[in-house]
Formats: sequence, C-alpha cells, structure tokens
Amino acid sequence: MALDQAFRLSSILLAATGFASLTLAIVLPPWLLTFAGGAFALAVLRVNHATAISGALQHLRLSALTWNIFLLLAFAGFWIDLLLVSQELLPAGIHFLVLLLVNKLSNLDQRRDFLHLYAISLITLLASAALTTQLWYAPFFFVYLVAGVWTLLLYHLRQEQEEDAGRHMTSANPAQTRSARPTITVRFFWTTNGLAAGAFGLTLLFFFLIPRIGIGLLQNTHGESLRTTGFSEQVDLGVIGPVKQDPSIVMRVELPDSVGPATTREPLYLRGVAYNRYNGKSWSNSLPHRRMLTELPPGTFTLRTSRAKLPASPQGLRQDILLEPLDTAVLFGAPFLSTVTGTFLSVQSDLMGSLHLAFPSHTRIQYTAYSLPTSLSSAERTAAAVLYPEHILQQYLQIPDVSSQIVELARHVTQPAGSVFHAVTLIHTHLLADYRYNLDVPSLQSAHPLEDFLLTRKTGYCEHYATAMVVLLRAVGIPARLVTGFLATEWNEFGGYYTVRQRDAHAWVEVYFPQSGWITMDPTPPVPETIGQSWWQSMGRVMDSVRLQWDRLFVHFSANDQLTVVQGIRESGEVVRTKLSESLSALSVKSSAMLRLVMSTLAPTGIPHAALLVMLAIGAAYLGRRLLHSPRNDASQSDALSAHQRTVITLYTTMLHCLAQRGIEKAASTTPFELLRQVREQWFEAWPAADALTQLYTHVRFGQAPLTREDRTTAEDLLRRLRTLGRSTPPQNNKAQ
Amino acid sequence: MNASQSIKSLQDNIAQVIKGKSRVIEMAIVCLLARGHLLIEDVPGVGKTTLAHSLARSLDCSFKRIQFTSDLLPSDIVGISVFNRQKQAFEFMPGPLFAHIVLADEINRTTPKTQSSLLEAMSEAQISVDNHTYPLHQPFMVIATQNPAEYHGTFPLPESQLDRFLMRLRIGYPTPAEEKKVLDRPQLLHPADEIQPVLSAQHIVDLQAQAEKVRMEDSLMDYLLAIVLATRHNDLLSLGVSTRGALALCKAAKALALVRDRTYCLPEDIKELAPTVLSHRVMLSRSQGMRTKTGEHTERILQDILDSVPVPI
Repeated sequence: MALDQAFRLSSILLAATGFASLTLAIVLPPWLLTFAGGAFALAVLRVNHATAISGALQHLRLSALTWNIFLLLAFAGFWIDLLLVSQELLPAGIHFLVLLLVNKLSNLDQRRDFLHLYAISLITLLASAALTTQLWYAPFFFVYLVAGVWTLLLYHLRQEQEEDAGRHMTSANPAQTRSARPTITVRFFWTTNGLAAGAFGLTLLFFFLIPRIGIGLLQNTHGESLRTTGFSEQVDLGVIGPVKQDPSIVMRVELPDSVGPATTREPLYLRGVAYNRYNGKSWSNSLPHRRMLTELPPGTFTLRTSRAKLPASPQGLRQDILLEPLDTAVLFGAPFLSTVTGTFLSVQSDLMGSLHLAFPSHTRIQYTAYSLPTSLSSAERTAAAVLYPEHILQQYLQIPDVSSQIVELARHVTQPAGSVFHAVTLIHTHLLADYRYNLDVPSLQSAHPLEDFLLTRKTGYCEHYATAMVVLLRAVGIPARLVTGFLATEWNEFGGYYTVRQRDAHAWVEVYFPQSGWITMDPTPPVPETIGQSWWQSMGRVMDSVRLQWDRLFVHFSANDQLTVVQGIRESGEVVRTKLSESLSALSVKSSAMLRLVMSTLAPTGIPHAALLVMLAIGAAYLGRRLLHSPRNDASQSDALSAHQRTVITLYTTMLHCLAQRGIEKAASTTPFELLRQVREQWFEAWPAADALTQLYTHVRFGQAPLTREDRTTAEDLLRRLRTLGRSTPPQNNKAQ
Repeated sequence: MNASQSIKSLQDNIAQVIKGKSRVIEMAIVCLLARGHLLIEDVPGVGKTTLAHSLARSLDCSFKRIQFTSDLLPSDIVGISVFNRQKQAFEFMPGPLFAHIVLADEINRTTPKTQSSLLEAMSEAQISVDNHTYPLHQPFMVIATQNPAEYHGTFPLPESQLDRFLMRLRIGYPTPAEEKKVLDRPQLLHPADEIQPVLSAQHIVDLQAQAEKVRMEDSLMDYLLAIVLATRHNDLLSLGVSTRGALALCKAAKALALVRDRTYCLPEDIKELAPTVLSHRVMLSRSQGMRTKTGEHTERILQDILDSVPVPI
C-alpha cells in the first residue's frame, strides 16, 4: 500500500476508534450519529484518489467559508445545548466535539489538520474513559493504541518523505524520487503492531506500578444502581415474579475455602431479609429494631448471638462477595451470617439475623462473609411435641384472617404426623407434589393471592410456595418465617464463582426448633436447569469471568490492592531468599567441613583463614584483570563490527590463549605479524598453523573479507591442531619452567 | 601488469643499483605512491643521490638535480621570466623544479628564502611566478637530502617545511658484503645510468590512485589516532604530531599496503611507518637537549610510544 494512503487510512481509523468508544459510552442523538458516520464514510472514500467516486467527491467539497460558518453554528449550538437542551457540560461538550470531528474529517488537507484530528480523537477516547468502566473499553483502547503507533510512525515517515522530495526536486530527476517512495509492507505492518503491543505491555506495567490516587474522580456512576425487589420493609406477594426473567447480575460469590469439582456446585442460598408478619397480601417485619454490630478488629463486624465471647478469628463458611450497586442496603450471605469484613462505616442487624448497611451503596462493594449453618438435631427430628419460648410464639405464629379452608387444609395435611418435624415434612411434600411451578401468575391483581394459590389455581412460584408453607405451618402451631434472598445456581467454572442474577431472586421458609434454631426449608420445586452447557453459554461465562477480572484489576485496582501485590511479591521474595540462604549455608557447611578436613591434615590451625584470604585475593585479582583487559574501546568497537569480524576475532583470541599457555604472550602493542615472528622463534612447530590463522584473521578483520564456512572449519581445525601440539610437545622456552 | 608486479619490478630495478637497502627502496616507493616527498638525512656518500637518480630512471621520468648552496636564489629553482625581444614580451623559462623527480641536494645549505620557495611546489604541485600559476608534472616528487654531521653555515629547515615531507629516512652504511659488491662493479658508467625504465609516469599516477583506494578499517584509524594523540601528550616531546602528520601516516600506510600487495591496511603498516613518518614532525622538549639532530633519539621516543599503544584485536 502506498505510504500516503496508509497514513490517511490509519488516521481515520484512529479517529473512528475514539468515536466508536464514545458512542458506546454515551447515547448520542441519531442525527449526530448519522452525520458523523457519513463524514467517516466520505473520508474513507476520499483516501483512494484513483477511483471515480473520489474524483466526484473532490467536486463536492464545501468552501472554507461554509465550514467556518458551520463551526460558528456548532459553537452556538453548544451553548444552546448546554443551557437549554441537555443542561449539562459533559453531553453538550461531547456533541460539540463530534461536530468538530466531522469538520476535521471533511477537511484533511494539511499536516496540521491531521494533528487536530489526533487531538480530537484523543479527547474522545478520554471522554469515553471518563464515562465508563466497562470491559468493552479495553479492546477499544488497545485498537486506539495500535492505530496511534501506526499513525504517528506514518506521520513521521510522510514528513520525512516530503522533506526528501523537496531536496530531490533541486538535485535529482523526479523519476528517481518516485521510485524511492516507500510502500507499506507486511513486515512493516507486523513490526509496528509489535511495537504497539510492547507499548501496551509497558503501559500495563506502569498502571500497576505507579502509585494510585483514589478512583472515582472522573467516574460517573450515579443512577447505575440496580433496582431490586423483595428486600424492602414490606413485600407484596408476587413481586418477585416479574424479575424472574431479568438476567442482570446482582453479585458474584466466591467460596475460597470450599473444595469441590470445578465444573458444578450445589445451589447456594444467599439470605437477604426475613419477614414474620403476613397481612394476606404482603409480608412485613414487625421487629424493626436494629442494633449496631461491634467492629473489632477494624473492618470486621461480628454478630453476637449470645453472650459468648467473640472468637479470635471468624469461623464458618467463608464467602467473598462482590455486590453490585443495589437500591437496598441489605448484605447477603449464606444462612446464617455471623461476621462480615469490608470497608463499611457501620453494619446493623435486625432481630431476625439480617444485616444491613446504613444506606445503599452507590458503588460496587466487596466484602467477606462468614456463615454458621444450622442443622436439625436428631432429638428434635423425632420429638412429638416441642416447647417454644414465649417470644417466639408471639412473633412467629401470626396468621391473617384467612379462610378457614386453609386451616382445614393444614390440619388435613398434618393429620398423620407423628412428630413436629414430620408435620413440617408433610406440608413440604404436599406443596411439592400437588402444586405446579409457573411464573405466569397475575397475583398482584388478586385480592387473596394465597387462597388463589392454595385452593383454586394451584400454580405459582417461590413466593407463593413459601408463603403457603409458612401459613400452613403457623396454622398447626409451628413457628415459621419467610425469607427472601437469592438462590445461586449459576457456577462459573472459569472464574470459580457463583454468578447471581436478578432472576435468581428467591423466597423460602425458616422453621423454628428450640434447640436447633431456625432451619431452612424450601418448598419450591426445583426450577428446570437454567445453566446451559452450549459453547455459546460457556463463552458467556468466560466473558463474565474476564469482566470480573477487568473490574478487579483495572477499574477497582486501588492503592490497597497495589500494596497487597507488593507485599505478596516481597513475601515470596523472602521465601526464595530464605530457601536460597538455607541451601547456601548447607553448602558452605559442607565445603567448610571439607576445607577443615584438608587443612587439618596439612597444617596447624590459622592456615585456613590465610588460605581463604589468598583465594579471595586471587579471585579479586582475576576479576580485576578481566575488567582491565576489556577496555571500553572494545565495547564501542564491537557495535561497528560485522558478524564475520566478530567470529574471526573469537577464533584469533582462542589462538592467543593457546599461545599464551605456551608462554607466548601477546603484548597489547604487538601487531599480528610481530606475534607471528615471535611464534616462529619460540615455537616453530606451531608456526604454520599460527601463520594460516593470522592470515585469515587479518584478511577478515582488517580486509573485511567475508568468512566462508570452509574458512571457519579450516580455522577450527588449525586451532585443534595447535591445541594438540601444545599438549604433545613440551614447551622449551616456557617462562613457567 | 598488475600493481604488485609493477611495484616488484620497480623495486628489483632499483635494487640493481642500491645494494642491500631494500627497506630504503621500499620506503622511497611508498613515498612516491603516497604522493609524498622524501627527506633523506645521512652522511655524504651513502647513495642518497644514486637512490633518487635510479628511482627517476626506473620510471621513465624527467629528473633534475639542484645543488643547494648559500647563494642559491628562488628564481634559480623555480624559473625566471626573460624578455623576448622578437615577441616583445616576457617569456617564462622554467627552472629545474619542472621535472618529475627533483633532487634537492643539501637542502639545509641554502637560505630560508630559497627553501620556502619549494613550499608551494611541494604542497600544491604548482608554481606561481609573476601572477601566473604553472602546474608541475605528475608525478612530482622532491627528494631532499641533508647532512646531519656538519652544521657549519647551514640553515636548519623550519618546522613548517619539515612537515611537508612525508617521511624522513636514513640510509645508513651497507654491510661489508654489500659494500664489496659495490666496489666490485665496473666503474666506467654511473650505475644508475645502466638501468632501464620499467614504468611510465602514467603508471605511477595510476598506482597513486590505487593506493588511495586501499581500505583502512575503522579500528585502525582509531589506532593511528591513538598514536598521534600519545605524541601530543608525551612529556619528552614539546610538540606533537599535527593533523597533517596523521593524514601523512594514513596515506603512507595505505601506500605501504599496496606495495605489500594488499588491498587493506594492517596494524603493522602503521606501526612500521610511524617512526619514519612522524619523527621529523615532533619537537623534543628542552629537557632532552640538542644532542639529537639526527632524529635517532626522536625515533626511539616514538618507538616507546608505539610500545604503549594497544593494537586493536
């Protein structure tokens, strides 16, 4: 591709990336979208000068005056937009920015126009960064980076080419200039992309290394919290139904301590709020009193159920929960929450074991919850009658004035019961067996939804089932309450967490037993498997886990996280160092033992230290010699040397080593042939080989002749011969003797 | 006939006359090929003139000899304008400098005025007389001799002029065996007259161009400059080698490489030539006294310097 064409295309791509990320971050008016899209299309069409379309387009150009008027109008429009239409700086500014972009795209002539375009595209990218924290921003950012590297490179190439052309005009013929015009090759393409990827990697490094300021300075998160149902003061029967189709994600739950198959997990109940009062249409809490939880140590809030001492460390099932901004202040967790840790100002609990924040969070919150599950003791499983405490009977046996048919039904169902728990299971199985799960229930309009469900329609969903069970239990004198929360079934095997969505909203029952406490019962029949196994759905789960990592690593990467990472690195470094020093000390113990053995056989004490010192001195002298013998010239010189020269220098140095072993040392100021003369006098047998090697060396080193493969093999043969000669014949003039 | 053969035949030809002085002959040829001028400094009667003469004869070139005396005037060597009565105009009569090879015998016997008239000729290969510039023949080479043994009534050459000689040579006495060969020769003819030209002037010009093309590797340039730099920082020398001196050494090394049938220089070329090319370009510091007019002492200092500068590997 020709340079100019590639340059224009990559400039447009750069602008398009910025613009596209902006359109995803903010909703632009359709007319503006069309306008900008048209400008992009025209700009792309104009790139190719050769086609007939672009020729026609050249005539379509508006005059500079028209564009100036356009700009003035756009500026006026900005003020109108700001003051009257959107009444906010950000959208108005962005609309104006898009108009500027359109203007520049339509007038790409001079160098400065391109520079303006880059500036505008950078602002669009920054604006979209300020507007969003979504995952899709990452690919756009990457594409922008690649296009940016491309464009800047091409920009400079083009500039140089223009200057070059200017110079050629005066001196050489233009034909030569044309032939010298560079084109964009595949290799150039990939090199540039590699550069961009490298830059991206470096950016990532900086991102993680540079000290952070708090997030949210530019972030615009207002109004993003999710509307939930079922966790307010009063819950109408049937409110959960409409959200059972909503796939938006409410939270993600990791179970770091639990082990199990990575692919599937048991459903996890995430308890929200419990209700004890039913008025025939809606549930409410008659115990609104809340108390603050003790915060000890900072960030850890523990629910003290009895007067028992606080445990030293939180116990129970650990869950790491990432809660999306919701319109409720409830903290969710598996039954029953005992401790939560997180950056909260305060946590309150009500008398039914639900935890609340002081107010709903507008940002995503992350906390760790510890839950202590309850189970029915075997004594109570068979007990024919149990004695309930007075306050339980007061609070959890209330029944609205429902028709006597319901009480009748309860009595009828529990008639064969031999124990309390048996009665509970009889009601449970009755609901499971005789009723059908169906979301299509117009219960909000009904005056008596429970009667409708239990007696006439016999279809409904979790709320109906749970309400029915509570009412039936209470009708036969068993304390029970309704709980709303989420039933997590969607296990993301790639990220290792439960994805909890709006549609997982659930209601179930807790039954009271004096010894065991509140026992969770779910009368709702299992919903058909919603979690799919098709590649498309697993792809979705992969994307979700990537999105989670994106949020965790980039959007919410805080100074705290950085500190954690650094500490982790330091700790692992410490571990490595300890291991290393351990193995080193083991080694030194062995070697010193050996040294001591040698020394004790050779000489009296005191010598080992001297020997060690001598060894150290020799080592230092050797090191110093090595350092002195590699003058700085060599380093700078080696840059200019060719591969052949470097190879031949290595060969020659090997020969010098061979000669040095025979006592023929090359002084620094000795030239190759002076040395050869020396060899001839002192070690005549070696002279022919040394001569041939020196000839080859000077030829390649100073004559810059190529070193052929045969030359190399010959040289290596000669060196071998030199070595064998050195071993076989005893030195005659050796200084060492 | 290629370069090495031509040079070999030239060497052999001169060696017929100058016995046992192959190094001196080689240096003279190097000087010729490097477009340089030669200063021979030795006692009388060791063959200075014969060397110049046989070189000129071997080349099929014109040869002029100027005996420098204290009353010699510039016009005696450059030439003079004489009034031509028929043409009613001045006519330039070229002096002895208009030759390929000029032997300036006992150059230190003449006055500085005459000595400096050689300057332009030697460096520019041209002569300006009466606002007119006359180019000299190519090749053009000045071989000057001076007697170091006797200083009575001499004018030592100024630094500026010494710098214009590419090298300063000493011939030295031949070995007794060689000397016997000289005596053994029939004395009827001057030996230099017996030899025949082997190369033409054009040949020499070609060889000179070829010598310039000899490659000198980058590290060798560094080596050469390190030597030059060492002379400037030596305590025994009050004046180091100039840039012209470095250039001269470079040119000479290239010519020597050509003479030795190579297309590239070696460190030995530089090392071998350095005393010859540089010794007359440095000045001994005062502490070294005046005892060394012959330059032997300077050459020894240069040799010490060469022994301290590392040769690139």
